[in-house]
Amino acid sequence: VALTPLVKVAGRRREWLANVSAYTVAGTVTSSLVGAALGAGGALVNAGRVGSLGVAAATLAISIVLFTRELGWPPVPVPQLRRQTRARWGSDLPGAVVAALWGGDVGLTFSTYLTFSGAWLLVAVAVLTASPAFGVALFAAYWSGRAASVWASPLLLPGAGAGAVLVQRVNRNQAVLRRAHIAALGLSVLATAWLLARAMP
Amino acid sequence: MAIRDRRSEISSAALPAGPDRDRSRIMLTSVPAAGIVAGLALAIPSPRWALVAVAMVLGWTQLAGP
Repeated sequence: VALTPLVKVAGRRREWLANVSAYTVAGTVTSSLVGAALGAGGALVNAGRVGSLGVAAATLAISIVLFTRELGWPPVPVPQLRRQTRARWGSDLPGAVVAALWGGDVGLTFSTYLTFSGAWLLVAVAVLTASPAFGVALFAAYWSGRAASVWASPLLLPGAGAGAVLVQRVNRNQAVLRRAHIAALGLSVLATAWLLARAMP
Repeated sequence: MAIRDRRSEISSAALPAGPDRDRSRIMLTSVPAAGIVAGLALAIPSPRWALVAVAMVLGWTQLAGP
């Protein structure tokens, strides 16, 4: 919301492009670092000793738990920091700098609110696979989804002064986004079940 | 992003309906739909990389939050 309206202001599209690029790059860096750290952490505790069968079984179990959680059972809150990026940065710092700070902060994944539980699946997979490179791939992909929504948001914005409309349009589609999240977790169940079936002797 | 506070301000605003509503929904669902299709295509040859497509969709849906 803070980054998007500029794209609708005549003569300021380049500034919007610079800001959203800074947001995306900074988030890519921090998300990749999170993924690499989790993969390295998994390697450090030798999580890979469970073997490919163990990794697939654990991933399948976690996918099922998160999938059913998003369907409403068990109705447990998502573990998270109840915090947002600092809106105040926007008034104190130049546009591209503040966009980079917001991107870097949100890119840390767990430093701000989580609406759904799926990010925890990525933590589990990154640690279990004990591969910093795969951890980077997972978290960079997660961030690419988050950043893509910022790149696409001008399509939902009718004019420069309509930030509230953007929020409104997203809000009224919350149920659709939840269903997409559930579908992604369902896909994880399918893929890991197949991985497990393949890894079985 | 810092939008949670603004949500309460606009919660009582009138919601556009009809084609506008459909356009928003199509736009918001097209990316996850593409991700799911890509993930399904990868699921059999490379289940591990299907999880990367899953990650992208999970990230996009976070748009529903603050």
